Amino acid sequence: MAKIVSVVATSHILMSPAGVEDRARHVVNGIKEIGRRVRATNPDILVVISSDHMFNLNLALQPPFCVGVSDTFVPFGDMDIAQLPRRGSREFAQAFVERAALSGFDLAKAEEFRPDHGIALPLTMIDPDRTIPIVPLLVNINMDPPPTPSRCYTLGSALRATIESDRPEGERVAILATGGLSHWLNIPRHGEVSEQFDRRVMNAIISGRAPELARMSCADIVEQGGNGGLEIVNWLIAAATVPGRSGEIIYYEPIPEWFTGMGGIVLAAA
Amino acid sequence: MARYVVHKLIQSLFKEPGLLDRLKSEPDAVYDAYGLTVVERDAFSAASPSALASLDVHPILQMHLMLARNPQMAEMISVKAYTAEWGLQ
Repeated sequence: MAKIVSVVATSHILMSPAGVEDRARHVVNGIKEIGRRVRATNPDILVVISSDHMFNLNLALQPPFCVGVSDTFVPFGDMDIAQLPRRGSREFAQAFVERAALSGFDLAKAEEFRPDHGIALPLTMIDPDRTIPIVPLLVNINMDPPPTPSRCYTLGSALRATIESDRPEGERVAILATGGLSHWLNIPRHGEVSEQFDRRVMNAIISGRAPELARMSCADIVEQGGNGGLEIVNWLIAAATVPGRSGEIIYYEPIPEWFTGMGGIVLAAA
Repeated sequence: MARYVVHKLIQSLFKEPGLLDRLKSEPDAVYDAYGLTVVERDAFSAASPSALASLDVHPILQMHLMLARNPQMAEMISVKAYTAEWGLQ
């Protein structure tokens, strides 16, 4: 039986710090602190849960969930992110796909996934030396309909079962969810940020009450947190791997200049 | 929702080598290749939020096209400032 050693979540974008230097620095320092916490748990594998921004999963092919199974991942390079390769874990990814299939999820697999900023950006601070093999899990919030919060939470339980039932004794697994918090992107209310929604999400998850959020509909989330706010389903998957676990907010900044609320949490590490 | 050919063209901008340059140098030829209507061509050329919204282009793909056509936006949504001054790799 492997062990979940850390579970964290963070927003996954940076925009120009011009005019918002103090808040930008708080965000960067927060993500770096989350990275320090993750690395301190000495993980052998890092599962990274994110949406894709239609550089890989676009309208041509629309699986609700997709697992990157390749041995190496090279960033897509959007946002001028360096295209430096990271190792994957084919064995872990395959075990997850198989466990998910037994749990009612037929996951898509990708050999040619190129991580966009959703995964590549936070990893520049979470694992700057690119030493920890990653297993990307993509949640397709950009399809219609997107996967529901409850479905995502249940998939998190399958991820937990993979680690606890199918992976070798002694393996240490960290889980990183990325995305959110509230943002309305190119829809009515474009540019708004809801600190109320953001704090509700973070407080629920760090209090072990993620199932409350999992009962929301996608329409509820879009109404209260915007279409980009749907990315909190990634956080729900992570939270479901350690149900009831408490945690702490590492950073939070509402940044209307970036059109989003930026936040990061750590659920108590093992 | 906009016609799929509109989305397909946007989806190809960052994937098909040379397409972005051709869109700038010979837009009509690109529009012809994808079979865009006059209304769609005008919206594509404007590449503004209102023009793209009028076609009901997917919100994320609106962002792709605006990033491709607007250097200032691409400069803002970039990690360059952080890699140069803040030590991000």
